Amino acid sequence: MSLLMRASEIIKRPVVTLEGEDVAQIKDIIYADSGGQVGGFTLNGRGFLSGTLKTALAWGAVVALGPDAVMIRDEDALTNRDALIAEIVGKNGVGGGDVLGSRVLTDDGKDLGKVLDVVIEVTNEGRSFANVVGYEIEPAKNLGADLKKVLVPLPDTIAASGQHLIVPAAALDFVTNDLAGFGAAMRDFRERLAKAAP
Amino acid sequence: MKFSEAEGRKVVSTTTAETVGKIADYIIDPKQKTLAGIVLKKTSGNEDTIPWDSVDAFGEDAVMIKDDDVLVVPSGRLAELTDKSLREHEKLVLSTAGADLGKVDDVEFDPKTGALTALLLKDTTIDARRLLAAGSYAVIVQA
Repeated sequence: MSLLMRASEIIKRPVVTLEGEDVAQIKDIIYADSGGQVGGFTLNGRGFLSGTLKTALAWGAVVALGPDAVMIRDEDALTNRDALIAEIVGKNGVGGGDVLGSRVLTDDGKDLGKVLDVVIEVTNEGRSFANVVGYEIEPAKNLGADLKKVLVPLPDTIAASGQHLIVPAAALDFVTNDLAGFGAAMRDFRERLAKAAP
Repeated sequence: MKFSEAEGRKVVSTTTAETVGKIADYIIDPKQKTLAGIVLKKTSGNEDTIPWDSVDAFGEDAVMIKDDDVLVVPSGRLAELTDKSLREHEKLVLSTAGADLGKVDDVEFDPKTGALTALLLKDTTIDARRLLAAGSYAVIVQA
């Protein structure tokens, strides 16, 4: 089973234990693997006056990233925030992978637009993963002036600098404007890339 | 039987034949998936809770207990469970997959054994065997 969601929808989602207690809410996503995967989350406390927590949630401690809540076993699933960020960022070589605002360029030099949101696919086959599978972009003029936001599928691995994100030119053929049709477009796109590979 | 159906039902002592109080609320044990006790209103003293083990019969018209000395002020395990009311503030039901299933409207139980049989939500019914926990934020059920 897989579930597609926007990163912005995950922000503020409550973190709930299997005992039914809400212990935190998602502040931000810590990206791993050069922005290709969700490595964990920084957290805010619950309620209006509570600020950023010193604890964070590693992806490995997540029981389920659901549409309405992030489930964890118990409060012990939370770890030290700075240590977790250091661990994840240390593995990547690059910083947390904040891609919002970056320009998406095709490998043949076409500017597709500016990244507004990140599309995440959560799969629950065996071990669960949260992969970054697409970006929602504010399209550049050459994609058509009538489009407000479009979704661009991503290959398994991409080059990202914080300034630019490079996607294969073929991604342009699989651009969709809603999340419902995006799953199929993303799979077709990756299939084509796999076939094209020597 | 549903929680709502028996709410307000009188509780009668078989020794004195007097009404001891009326059902106000229920204490459940989510792990055992059973009723742990009944909370009464209109009792004469501070003791307002009947542990389930002290209920002799949960009848259609009255709940029978031996005498009003089986009433207690919840302590220990029962006090802990008092916080786990299922219907308080229309508690949210979350699956272990993190999906919001709705809010608990009512609970169905077996009046003979006290076993919970189903959680009744506005649009769906959830088998009580899926119940895992009831916290201050949500009731957790197996996805």
